[in-house]
Amino acid sequence: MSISTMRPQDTARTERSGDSAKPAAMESHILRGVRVSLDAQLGNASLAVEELMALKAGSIVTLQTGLADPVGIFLNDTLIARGEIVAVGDKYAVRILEVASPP
Amino acid sequence: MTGVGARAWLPKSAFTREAVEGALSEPLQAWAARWFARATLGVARVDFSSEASIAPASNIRLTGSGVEVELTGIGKRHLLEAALDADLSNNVLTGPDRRLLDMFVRNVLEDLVSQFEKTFGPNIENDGNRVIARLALAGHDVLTLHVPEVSLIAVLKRSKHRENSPASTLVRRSAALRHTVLHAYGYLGSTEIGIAELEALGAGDVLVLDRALDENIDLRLTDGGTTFLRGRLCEDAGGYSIQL
Repeated sequence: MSISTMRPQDTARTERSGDSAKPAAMESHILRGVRVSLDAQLGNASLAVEELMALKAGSIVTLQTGLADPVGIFLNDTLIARGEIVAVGDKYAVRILEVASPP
Repeated sequence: MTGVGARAWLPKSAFTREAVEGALSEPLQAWAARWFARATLGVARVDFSSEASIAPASNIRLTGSGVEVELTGIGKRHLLEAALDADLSNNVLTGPDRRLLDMFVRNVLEDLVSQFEKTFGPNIENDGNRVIARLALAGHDVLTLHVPEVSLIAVLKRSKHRENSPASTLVRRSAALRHTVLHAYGYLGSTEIGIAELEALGAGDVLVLDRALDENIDLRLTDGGTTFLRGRLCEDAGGYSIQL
């Protein structure tokens, strides 16, 4: 929107919504085509270096997570959602159970 | 980790007579065993000097390996008596006798220098600071050794280090790491979505991952994300596990 075409009610709206309104719309438009990678993480494990060195084919590492515990969905190492493991065709998949609320 | 421009140093108090004697023992004992059948050899006194010694013309002086050996007239007689295992005080020596004995003494001293070269190496960098050790043979002061401080510091530090930290109290780095706990997570797979899809993501949506059901999953370090093992995802009553 150029200054010459801005109407009084537009100015009032801009002032009310603060400085973030216009950049947010721009970002949304600019970022629309950007793709991001989401990682699915299933449980944690803690093991000492000597246990790690003793591992061999057939060894079992137990994850500290129950069957009913959700899988974490991470965006750049940040947890953004939780879900459950399902199968889609021959692939692992995650059905979202909850998503972190937007700020 | 290397020290740049670092110079070995020990306080003067570290150069006790016993410590210096111990540091010099290898070349001195080898020399004594070769030339003196009965006489005992030891360091009688230790001093310091940062200046070159000025010996009277009658003294014999030899240099090698940064070590300077100085033998006075009376010292020469004691050395000969110890080497020949005889008392020379009542003998009348002719000119040819003296020349012969002088040659013999020179040989004995050259061997002493050579023993030092074997121990300290032929080219010791002399920083000007010297330890003066006076050697006694069979209870008589015989000769003076001017030894570069740097030569002795290396030996004294080695022996000090052995005393202070016996190998048994040290633990190998690999052994010290044994109990370090690593934190890891199971990595099931990933998927790529657009920002618009991400914004619209809600409960009930299904994200299909890039791993097949019969594919191995990763165990990755929480710190750094390095995959350090792969295995089959297993389920039992207790929960999930990964079989390598």
